[in-house]
Amino acid sequence: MREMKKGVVFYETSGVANAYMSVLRAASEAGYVPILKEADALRDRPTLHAAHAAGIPCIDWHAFASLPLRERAAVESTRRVNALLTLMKIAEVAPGAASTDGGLLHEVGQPFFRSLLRRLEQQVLAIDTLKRVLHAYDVRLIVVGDDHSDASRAVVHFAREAQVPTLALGEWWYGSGLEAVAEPALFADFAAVGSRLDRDRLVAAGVASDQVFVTGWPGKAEPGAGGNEQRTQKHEARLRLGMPPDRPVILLRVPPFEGVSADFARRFRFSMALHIAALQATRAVQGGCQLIVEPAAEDEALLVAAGADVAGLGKHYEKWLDEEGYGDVYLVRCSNGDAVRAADMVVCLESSHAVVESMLRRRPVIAVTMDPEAALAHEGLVGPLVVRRLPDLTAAIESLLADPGRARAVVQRQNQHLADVNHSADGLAAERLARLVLALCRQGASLDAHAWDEPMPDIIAACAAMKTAEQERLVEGVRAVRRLRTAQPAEAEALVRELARVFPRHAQPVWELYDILTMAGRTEESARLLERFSASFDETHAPLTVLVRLGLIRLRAGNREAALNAFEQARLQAPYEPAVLTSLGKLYMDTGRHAEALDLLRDATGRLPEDPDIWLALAHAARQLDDHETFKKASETYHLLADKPATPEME
Amino acid sequence: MTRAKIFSPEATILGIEPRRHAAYLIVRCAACQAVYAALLPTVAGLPVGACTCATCGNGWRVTPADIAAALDRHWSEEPRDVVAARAAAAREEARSWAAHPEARAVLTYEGVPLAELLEEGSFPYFMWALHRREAKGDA
Repeated sequence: MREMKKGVVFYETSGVANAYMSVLRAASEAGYVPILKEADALRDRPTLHAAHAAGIPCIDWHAFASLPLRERAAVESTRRVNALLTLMKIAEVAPGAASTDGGLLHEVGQPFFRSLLRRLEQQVLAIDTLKRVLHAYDVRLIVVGDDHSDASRAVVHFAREAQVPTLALGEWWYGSGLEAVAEPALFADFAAVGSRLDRDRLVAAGVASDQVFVTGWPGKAEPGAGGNEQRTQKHEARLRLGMPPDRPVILLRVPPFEGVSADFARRFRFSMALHIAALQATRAVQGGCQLIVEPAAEDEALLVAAGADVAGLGKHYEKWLDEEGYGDVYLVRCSNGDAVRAADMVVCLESSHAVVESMLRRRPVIAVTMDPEAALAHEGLVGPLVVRRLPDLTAAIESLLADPGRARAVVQRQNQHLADVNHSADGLAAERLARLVLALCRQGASLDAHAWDEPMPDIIAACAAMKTAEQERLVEGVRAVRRLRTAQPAEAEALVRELARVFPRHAQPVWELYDILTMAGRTEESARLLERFSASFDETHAPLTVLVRLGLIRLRAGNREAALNAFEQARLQAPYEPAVLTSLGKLYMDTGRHAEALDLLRDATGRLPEDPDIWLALAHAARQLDDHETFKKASETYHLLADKPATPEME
Repeated sequence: MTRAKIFSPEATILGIEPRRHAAYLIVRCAACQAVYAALLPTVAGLPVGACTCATCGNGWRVTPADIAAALDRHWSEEPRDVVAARAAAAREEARSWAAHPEARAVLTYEGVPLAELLEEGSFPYFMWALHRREAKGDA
């Protein structure tokens, strides 16, 4: 019997996963295959691609969630909701009858049951997918980004039954009182939190102290960013954001929408009022200043998932600003830290982890409280300038702009408390988290609560290879290559070859070089390049993107057998990845394996139903097999999507 | 079918309902009188953008002033202890609504009691229902 590979699942840690890339690398190098589940809203799987680009072989969780599995989840959910609706007609067993207020369920009515349909489907799919993952891998640990969500809790519960430990990353616990989730609670087996204060809050809420590990928040600290370095950062970040670099900049950060907050209405009112107060302050301060408005990434992802036109939303916002007479406002999305780098100060709601992040970036923070009388959400927050009444915001901003000495004093005061809000503030949070993840993988629930936090040279080396500065150098290098490659291809080629030499484990320089060679018509050379790159990996660990590209190139070169090897190897890694299914399906069709092609392409249409090329290939395969029904559906769908007549015709 | 965008300012906001990560506007369309729910568009906490009627395609602008007025109509400002008491009742309801053995059996999959794990997403529905019931009682 073949030995199962060991794995570690990262379930919806996407919001923070880029900061945790070194944790993925450490797990991978220790022999645990990272299996990534990104939020459904992140359709282009940014973390998976970033991991592959960094040479970390990761498996896509969605690849296990095949079309039949998803169809089954929908059927299961519908069946159960229908059964519930039937039960509601029997008074004594009606859902709600056992609750404190049996009538309330009737009042929440249709919207509740509609949402229930979707949420149950997500839970069932999560459980079924996890079963498949557990069948394919010896999963030693499941790391969850938020153990409060419906599907995450189902995963945690099922994992416990299967005796797989779970670890929650506790970033969302920041804040307290009615503004935050009503009660701090831990549903996973263990939690990794940013600071001793975070742990104390959980322990005070009844969580056992040996379940909570203080690791710090990876990726949030930028040690050493001060003095000239910080000034350079600020100038460059403003230029990158298209702002005049010499005028003062204030950054407004509003936390994500919290519909689950008990105090929804007051919180919503306050978010509006804070936004307008910041706009008014920008207009009122002596000499004027610029305002960056940075929406929460979570809110943006939700709008995208709901099909909203996010760019159109920006235009509406700009139109409203014009009508109200607000100028010098820059809406910045997904800035990767540029917004905070560009800012002279940051204005945010006091009970928000944006406060801590901005402190770690060495920017003076103006923390605005919702309730003038309430204690601060975080007792350790004595560093930032606290504003208890919104009308005082303009004066607070002016005081920091007018007196750079005061702004420096605020930063110094914040710095004194960094270690309280982010464990030790030593830049080693990623290493500590990696140690914890590996210790849990190796020891499971019997983890020695004290022994995990000892230095492990192999992990430190793995993490060091992923330092942010190195990533940024690579990104800058690739940008330069792209700027050069049309007008100065020789310079671009020299630069990208140097990047490939300096970053031998990264795929990005190889892709860039491949593009340059292909554009120059040097196809044999480009094919050899990918062959060489692929050969430098253990074949079973070669990144998926490498294998797919390799297959396509071999196909172009007419070597079908070698292409088949590459695609089949890719399919072992990602059995349901649409790019793999499509490529392999087309190749099967070309080699006369029509029935297999039909199955693969049918599955691929379920994964990427909006891609006309896959429907076209499915129509071709169906025609070969005289499958009239599939042919009709596939060619009609292709026709609709491609907005042109379908080319194949049934004979 | 391409729907026309009329951009009428006349839609009536009948309610604002919070969900886990967003709020929905309950709206009566000015053009066709259909009542529908629309995701409230926001930019960094400020309600601004556009909504479109699902029935006739009539579009209308969402402005902070309109939403602030609707919020005042439907969610009056309340003391914290009133909100805290309602939150406690809503959370209890979110935990126990499917506690009857038959309901629990229907909502158990692969040994996992699904309903018990739906607490967070169910909480805003019960908060909203309790709020609406209290508002009717006051009226």
